[in-house]
Amino acid sequence: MNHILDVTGLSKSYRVDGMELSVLQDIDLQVEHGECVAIVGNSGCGKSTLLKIIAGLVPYENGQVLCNGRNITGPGTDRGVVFQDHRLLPWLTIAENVGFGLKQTPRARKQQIISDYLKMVNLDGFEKAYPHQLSGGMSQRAAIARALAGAPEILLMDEPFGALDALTRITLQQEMIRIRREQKKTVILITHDIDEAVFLGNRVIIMSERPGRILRTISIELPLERDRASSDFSYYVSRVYKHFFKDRSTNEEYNI
Amino acid sequence: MRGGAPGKITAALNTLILPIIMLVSWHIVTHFKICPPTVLPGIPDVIKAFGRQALSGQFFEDLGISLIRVVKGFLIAAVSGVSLGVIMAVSLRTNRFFKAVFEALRQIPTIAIIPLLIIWFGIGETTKVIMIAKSAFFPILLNTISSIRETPGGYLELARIYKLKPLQTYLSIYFPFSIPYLFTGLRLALGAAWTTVVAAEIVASSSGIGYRINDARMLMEPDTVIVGILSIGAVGSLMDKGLVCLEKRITPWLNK
Repeated sequence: MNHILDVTGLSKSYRVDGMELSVLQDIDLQVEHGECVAIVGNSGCGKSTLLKIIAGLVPYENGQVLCNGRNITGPGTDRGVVFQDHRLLPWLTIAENVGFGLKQTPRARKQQIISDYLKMVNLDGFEKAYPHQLSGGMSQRAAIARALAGAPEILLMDEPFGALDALTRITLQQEMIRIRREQKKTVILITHDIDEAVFLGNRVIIMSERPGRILRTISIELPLERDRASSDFSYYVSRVYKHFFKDRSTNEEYNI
Repeated sequence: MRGGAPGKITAALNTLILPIIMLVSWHIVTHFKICPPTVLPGIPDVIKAFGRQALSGQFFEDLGISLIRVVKGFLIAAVSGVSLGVIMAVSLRTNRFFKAVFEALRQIPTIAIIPLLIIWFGIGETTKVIMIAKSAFFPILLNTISSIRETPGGYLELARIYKLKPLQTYLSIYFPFSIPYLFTGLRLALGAAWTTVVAAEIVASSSGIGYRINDARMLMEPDTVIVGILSIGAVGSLMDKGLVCLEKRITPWLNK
């Protein structure tokens, strides 16, 4: 039992207008300590549902989801979540938002944690600012700080950079690499950005369209710090890419 | 012409031009005896009447009595409106339980229940406080209910992730989110409370500003009537301004 997260035979369906709609089918997923698993799939493939099940926000009926060997029955402090929208509470300052999950922590310790994590995401000096005064990228950094401040073992990220502009997205991806080097956190990253998945993941998991099944797992045998311009990087990107756009990419080759 | 000193002067002129036209016309009409003073007294007479009442202390006594009634009724409405609103928004059963009666009661003008209240409670304080509370209750109740209902699901997910207890969820999510709605309700309610106290005092009272207006009419003192009417307008606007300032002060995150 070495896996921090162990999903076996997980299926999930919703009832929509009296019809059974299957969203996830026979998901098997084992995640090791310190690993970053990137899950890629089309929108509506159930990847966000999978993340919400792991987060304990959505119940499941079939299969088993174990975190550190224990059944997941609800949210827990061992899992931190970052959503696509930053979800900072507009009435709290950035410091208060980062400390939101630290209700039980003694005051002095809490201040220390808040300032440490704000430094980590390069937001020191913005303690007293309100979320509306921050840019999208800065808000998402604060959201990451909030998720990390609770000292979770697994960081669950649901398309965390999907709403950001391209340049900010790349900056934040690079910062994630730095944070992973400092924190050695296990990360599960949901994304539809192939480049992002290959840049951040130790493994890239490709999901089918609804009902979501795991089609393929690709291990990325690259060092933690990756060069997007390298041929190895492009090799992995194109391998993932071909899973989604097989027909079109062959056509393009003929055209050239 | 936006901002800056010239902009401010234009804006002030813009606001003051109608009141000035009205005052000048009033003065012309009375000064040249186009309108007899028994119908419309001149501005100097009204100012004199105000001075007389202020000096004798009667003006402040009337105002004080009316204000205390408003505060009593308004507080009852605020406390019951907010707490019932929260419960009705959360519990469908409570909502159904009160729905029919509240919907009907809301349609009945407060004036229409005066005769019944007089039969039950006489023309004492109870009648007036009940009337004010009834008028102020519904704006507060309805705004509280919609604020709770419109709280974004994402914030509530956050409450689940950080395992907040119901009271904590109310205090750190629902309540701060509802403050702007609540103030809309409180402003409408305060306006309603103020108009109701005057109506109640005109119909059934032996004290207060509304009583003074009606009494002055019977004594053929139109200048006192006008002092009463103008001060009702002024005090009402001042109280509304006060609520707006209070809201700005306690919601620094909304001052963009």
